[in-house]
Amino acid sequence: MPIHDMLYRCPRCGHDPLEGHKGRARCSSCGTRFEQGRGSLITVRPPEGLAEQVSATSLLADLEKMGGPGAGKERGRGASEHSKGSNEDGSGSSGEHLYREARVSLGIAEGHDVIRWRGEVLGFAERISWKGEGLIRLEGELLTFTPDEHGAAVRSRRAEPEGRVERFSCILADIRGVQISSGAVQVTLEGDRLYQFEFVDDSAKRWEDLLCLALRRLYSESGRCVIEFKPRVVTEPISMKSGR
Amino acid sequence: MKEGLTGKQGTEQPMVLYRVLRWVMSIYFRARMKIRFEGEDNVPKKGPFFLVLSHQSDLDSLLLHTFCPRLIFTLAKSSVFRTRFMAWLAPRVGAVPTRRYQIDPQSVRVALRLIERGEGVGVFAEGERSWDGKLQPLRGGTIRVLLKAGVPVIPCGLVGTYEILPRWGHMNWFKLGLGREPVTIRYAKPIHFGRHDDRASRERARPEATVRIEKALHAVMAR
Repeated sequence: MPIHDMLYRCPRCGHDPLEGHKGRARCSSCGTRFEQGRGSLITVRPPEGLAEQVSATSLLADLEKMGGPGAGKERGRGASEHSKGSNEDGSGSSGEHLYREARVSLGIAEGHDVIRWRGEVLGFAERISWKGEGLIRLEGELLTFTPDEHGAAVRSRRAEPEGRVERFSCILADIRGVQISSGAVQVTLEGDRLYQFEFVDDSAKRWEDLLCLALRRLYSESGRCVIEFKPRVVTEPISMKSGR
Repeated sequence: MKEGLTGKQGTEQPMVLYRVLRWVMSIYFRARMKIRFEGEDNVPKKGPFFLVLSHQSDLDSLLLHTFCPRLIFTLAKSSVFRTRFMAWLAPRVGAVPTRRYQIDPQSVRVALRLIERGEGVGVFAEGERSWDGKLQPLRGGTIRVLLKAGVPVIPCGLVGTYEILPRWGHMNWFKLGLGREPVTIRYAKPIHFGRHDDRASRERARPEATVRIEKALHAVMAR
């Protein structure tokens, strides 16, 4: 997974997003470069001054201090979003209202392959059908996917979509599980329906963190805390957690 | 008729390809990394056990399958099996598919059958690789399976793999381990929880079992 998937915002100036490829990322605002250094250290090269080796833990902590996935200066999407409580540039959070959108390739699990060995069923592997690109939007308690009008090809796979999918949306309470797998965010809805989102120009980790944050907020309103997000969202009363 | 992976107890599985690849990979890894082993005696020579692992890198399962004193079977995410080649290869080297996006009773069944056969089964109890090299919360479902099986649980830490190939790092087989970085594979003493057949008993035992395993994993992951 590329470095800018983990560092989805510049840990130095807060600019969002970082641009990068594989083991390198660059902030287009302050010019700081981030490179995979020796061991698990990240070499941080400011435009002026000396480079330093910093641990991923410390940079992740810096992102958390900046407000985590629900805050930050992010890309604009037009005036209509401003009234919905987002940042000036159209995304982020305002109070309890989380908002973000991004371009994705959508895959849906349609059936599975049986994995056998010597005639015995060992398990199953989901079969993902790619449905084309579109826009995913998290707005408050609603997650929506809007497909491109002309059925654009799945860019990351250079493939034509396998069938079309209509615009759909779900409320957060319908989400049964959230996780990252192979660089994509997988969202499980009721009935174990699996939707897989590959982000064209945004970080999968940010979206996983964002959805987890949104679910935490949702359940906390009813006095519950989330203790697991995968394979199932599991909650318990907040009183139990604090009593431990 | 051939016996499957989880065939009858006492029927030795040859796993020829697995053994050959272990040999080949051990040469590769020893050339690239300084590998140390600690507590190998804690892995029983015979009989079933669960190996509970910390997961910090893609290298973890490769190193474990290569260097564990016993042939080991591990639960691997089902997406690994999506290509034809991997669907053919992975079961032959001891990988059992598990669907991470839902509760997967089939993978639990296969793991428990392997345990019944007297095999060692490895599980990554955190369910995914860590982003920052720290231990993440252990999955409740995994702890339930350990309690249901009632066999020795051996916590195992692979120290140094995060430094070589962290989750956010880029995999390059040619550059991997060129600096001969140290890796320590450390096995803790087995923990015995006893067998918890009914659900209520498992739920009662789960919090304490989780704490004990977490504590042991922190100890084996110490640098």
